[in-house]
Amino acid sequence: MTLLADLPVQRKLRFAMLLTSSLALLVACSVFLTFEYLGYRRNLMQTVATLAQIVADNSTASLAFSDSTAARQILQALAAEPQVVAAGLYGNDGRPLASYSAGPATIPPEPGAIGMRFVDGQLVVVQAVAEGSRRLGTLTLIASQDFMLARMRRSFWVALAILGLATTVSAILATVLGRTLARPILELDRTAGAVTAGQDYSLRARQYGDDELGRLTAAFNGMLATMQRSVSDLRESEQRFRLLADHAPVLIWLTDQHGRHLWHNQRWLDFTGRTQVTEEGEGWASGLHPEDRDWTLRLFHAASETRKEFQLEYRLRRHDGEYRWMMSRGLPRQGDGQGFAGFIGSSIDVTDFKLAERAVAEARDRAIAASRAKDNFLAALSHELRTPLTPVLLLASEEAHNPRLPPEVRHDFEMISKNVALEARLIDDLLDLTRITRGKLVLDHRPADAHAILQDALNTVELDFRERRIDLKVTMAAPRHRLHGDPVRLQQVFWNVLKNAAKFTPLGGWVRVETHVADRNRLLVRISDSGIGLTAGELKRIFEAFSQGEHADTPAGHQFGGLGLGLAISERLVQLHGGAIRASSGGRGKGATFEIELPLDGGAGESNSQPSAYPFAENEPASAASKPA
Amino acid sequence: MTFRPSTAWSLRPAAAALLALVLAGSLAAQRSREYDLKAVFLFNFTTFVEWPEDARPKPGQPLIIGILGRDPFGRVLDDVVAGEKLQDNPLQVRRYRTVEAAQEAQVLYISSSEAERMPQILHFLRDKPVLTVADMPHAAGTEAVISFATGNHIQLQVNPAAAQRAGLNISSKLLRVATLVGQNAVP
Repeated sequence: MTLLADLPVQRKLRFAMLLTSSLALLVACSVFLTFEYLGYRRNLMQTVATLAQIVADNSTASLAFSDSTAARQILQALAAEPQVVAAGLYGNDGRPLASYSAGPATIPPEPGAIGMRFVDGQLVVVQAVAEGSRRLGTLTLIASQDFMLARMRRSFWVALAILGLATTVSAILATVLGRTLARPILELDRTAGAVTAGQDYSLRARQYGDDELGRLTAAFNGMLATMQRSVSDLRESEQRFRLLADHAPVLIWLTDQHGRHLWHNQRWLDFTGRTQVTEEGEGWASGLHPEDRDWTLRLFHAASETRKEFQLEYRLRRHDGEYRWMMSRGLPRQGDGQGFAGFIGSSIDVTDFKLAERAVAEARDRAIAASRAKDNFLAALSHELRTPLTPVLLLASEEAHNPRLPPEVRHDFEMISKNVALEARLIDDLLDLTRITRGKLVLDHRPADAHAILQDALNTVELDFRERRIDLKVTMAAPRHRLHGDPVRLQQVFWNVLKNAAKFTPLGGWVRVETHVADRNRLLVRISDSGIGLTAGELKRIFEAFSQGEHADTPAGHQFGGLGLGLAISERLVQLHGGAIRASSGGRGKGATFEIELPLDGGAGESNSQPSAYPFAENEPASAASKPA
Repeated sequence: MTFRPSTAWSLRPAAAALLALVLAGSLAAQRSREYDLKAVFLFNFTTFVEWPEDARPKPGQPLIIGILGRDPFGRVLDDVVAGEKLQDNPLQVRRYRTVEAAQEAQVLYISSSEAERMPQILHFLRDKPVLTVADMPHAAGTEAVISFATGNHIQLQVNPAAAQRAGLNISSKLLRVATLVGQNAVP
């Protein structure tokens, strides 16, 4: 049947139908002819046997009395039987008494054995002739099959004619039916061919009827519709992607599983000034800076092994020949359900950013270095300035109280001592600030009484208040005032704030000092005055070093004096104690209020057990002094 | 079965040879041949004739073929019937001198030697259930049931009227090969 395989379906169907019907007809005709033959044969045997019986019965007397004439007459009657071609009557001695023959056939010289048999296409019947129980002789009848064969031949020709006619009719039917049956298949084949040739999925096969082939056609058409839809979806999606990729501000590329570049967007081609073909595979790498080429390609290969997202920067030659820093990112992409298919990546020109970044870093480095130099300079300066002051201050104080000196001279020494003490104070502040900035300030923590410390500070500035005739009112209302801290430094904080209040409060003004216990177990010290107050801008920078209020910038500003270090140092010290300092004011001329909050002993806010040395990073923006310029 | 009809085998040369033999043979041989046949005929008559019930021999008793007058058969007839039976009755050949003695036979051959006494003999046997066979043609004036008329070959003549008188029933097959004679010749 492989020979049949390449034949068109229509011819296959026709062939199959023709073969089937022809075979059926052939078998039917063969069976018919066989039965016809067997029937004829049995009929012939019966007829001849009956004839033999009748003739034998009739010829007893002629045999008994050797009447050959009568015997011949009897045999002659066989002429009415066309099958019988010869007959012979034999006596008991085996000699023929009479014979009959139609045509060339003759009887044998001897009767032969009793029975019926076919010999050379002739039926030979040998019948005993007996009257009653007495055997009188033998009858031999020879019947030709010619007559039967003639009828068989006629039957054969009739069968052949029927066969021919039926085959012709079935051939016509097979052609017509085959065409009808094959039509849907041919239609499917034609449509499939047209779709394949033209890639046109809008074509549809015509459906004939609703049998299996009809349903197959419907399914095929459904498949075509799905394909059409998905192809148009795909085209649309691809168009969208191209549009997006080609107009994106970044360079976009695709790689295969082995990290070789497959595709680049228009932006990439415009950037490198090359073509899609030259960039394919590892062609794009020829645009890399020679120093970057090898490791970049290695990295692409390695990324293809790990199949993980990666990022790198390399220098890529722009169309004008300049190497530009590109930051590239690759994301693994999934193939059509086949897992890792390569990377989709983007690259952006980061050269300008890199340059700016480098400039910023250099500026910062420079600023940090400058700041450190300044701190070192300040520390050295302060130390060198402060050291010679000690013997001067000591001598001046001694001589101011020397009774052997005249009062004018003692007064002069008094003046020298006062001014040197002020200068020493300033230098101490500077030293403190540089220590804090460099993280070198060490606090001496111990249990202390806040009210006692505040009282000590008040005693120190009492003279100033009195000189300026400032009304000072102290209300120490806090029921608990024990805390953990450095008494010297805390006194320095209170002194600074009180000194400020005294400095900025005009003659005859007032200053109020109160203490409370605020919630969360914190001691609150509030110092308010009726001084010149603070503007919003001043409030913002009040705790920065080297800054005084705007008044300091005015020509008359220096009447207040100082470098503006006190509050900056105070803020750091309060913070080192786990507390806070705040300033508030209603505005210029409306007075100012400072609030110092410190954690009390045994309270939730107890942070006094913190390490005594609080390390400050140099570039920590906690202090304005340490900030780079 | 050894013959082959398609061979050149033919009856005619054999028949010619037989004829030549007969022509060349002596008269004695011819006569001998004639009586051989007649002996067989006598024997065969018994199968084509039925006797009335009371004339049949009792079972076991012989059926007698009698010869009246000069015996032309010699041993031939005895040989023919030797060992033969008709139903339960063995066949027996008896020779008679007188017709009175001969009336016991079922078949009685009346020799040509009795030609002159024929009418008396037949007259005596008239109405008796004896199949009379006269060895002379009917034209010779016999009233026998069967007569042998000898020409080229032996021809049988049957007298149905005589048969009827004798109470014998002669088979139509026998009648067909015979020539009917006498009164009421049409059966």
